[in-house]
Amino acid sequence: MVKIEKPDNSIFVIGANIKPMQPELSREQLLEVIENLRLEVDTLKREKADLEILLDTTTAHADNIVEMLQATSLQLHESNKQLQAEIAERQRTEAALRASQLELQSLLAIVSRDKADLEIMLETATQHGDLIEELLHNQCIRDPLTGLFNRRFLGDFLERELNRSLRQQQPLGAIVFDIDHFKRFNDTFGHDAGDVVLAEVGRFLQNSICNSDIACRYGGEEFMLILPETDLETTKQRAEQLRDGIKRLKLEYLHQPLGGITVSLGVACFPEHGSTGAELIQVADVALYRAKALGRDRVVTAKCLNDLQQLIPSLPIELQKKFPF
Amino acid sequence: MEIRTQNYSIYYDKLTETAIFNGSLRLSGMEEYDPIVQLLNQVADTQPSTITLNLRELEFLNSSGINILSKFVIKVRQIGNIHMVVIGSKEVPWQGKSLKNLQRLMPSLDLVLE
Repeated sequence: MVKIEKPDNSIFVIGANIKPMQPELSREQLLEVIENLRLEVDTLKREKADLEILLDTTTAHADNIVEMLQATSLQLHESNKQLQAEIAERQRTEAALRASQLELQSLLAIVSRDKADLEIMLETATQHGDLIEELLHNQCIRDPLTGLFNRRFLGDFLERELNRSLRQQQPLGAIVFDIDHFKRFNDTFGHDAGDVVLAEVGRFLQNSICNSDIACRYGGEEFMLILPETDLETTKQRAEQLRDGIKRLKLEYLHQPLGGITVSLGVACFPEHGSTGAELIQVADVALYRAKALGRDRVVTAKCLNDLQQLIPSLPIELQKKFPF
Repeated sequence: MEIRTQNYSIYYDKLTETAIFNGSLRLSGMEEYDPIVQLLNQVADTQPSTITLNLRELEFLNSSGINILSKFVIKVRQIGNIHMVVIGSKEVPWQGKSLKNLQRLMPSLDLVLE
């Protein structure tokens, strides 16, 4: 063991863990040992200096990292606060949106119901309007007592059908008839009973006509049928069927039988007896007059008028002048 | 409550909770129907358990008239707790078709066509 005295009198023990040297070491050997020890000390000093630099570097690095971590942590904290604020704001917005959505849905339900109501109201008003127009139109063109077409409609219809018949070269039949002794019937049973008879005849006509035919109440107890695309012979047959059918009607008023009625009918046909509605009606009317004159309850066609002229001296002069058959 | 004119009359019988219509309603536009609307609204505002509209003797009703009936039915439906009955006649031509549409506005409405 070697003791070295330093200037400040402190004592270092160097090579404490060095095995004790043999006492017989020479001066050279001791110097060598000392040199080795000095080298060792130098090495240790360098290592110490290295370690101190390493420690400084590591400490500085660690300090940087800590600072960075602190800064990052602060940033994260700030970001977290911001995000939480945003989340809260978003939740408030979502709640407001949900409330608005509910309100809109409720409003939508009301508007949808109102729309459906308005559509039904519009449809109701339109259908009602159409129905009322139809009723009013019927009132304009139909006789209220019998439900048959009225004289105004007949005039328009007849002109249209005559034009069509002319274009298509088709015949057209016209039947005019009235109820025999209707005035006497009214005087006997009263006007209400007379109305019942007229209504019954109207119902019978409605049931008797074909699709393209029309029946109308021409005047008081006078009726008229227009039969498109029907020749004189067929029109006469139809007139006979009407005469027979009306004669068979069972009429009663207030549960009291009114007895039977008869009708007299005049028949005319386009084109042979007239080319206009007015002509055709007038000729059929003359035939009707003849049927009355011949004793009623019968059919007279315009074709027979020439022959009958001789047999009926009572034919009114004005009619003879108008229709000089 | 009653409205009586030369052409029509409407009388509300509180005892039977029935508004009885008579005659022909052919007023021009919604303004002229206002007194009738007022009468019907007064009836609805008292919130009776039942409201019956007896239209059997109402011979004619124009489009404005059917509109006020439609609106009244909607009003009664919206009030919610009133049973509504409409009585019509098969003999009056417009009633069969038009009154059935009122049921579309208020499915619980009882329509009686006599």
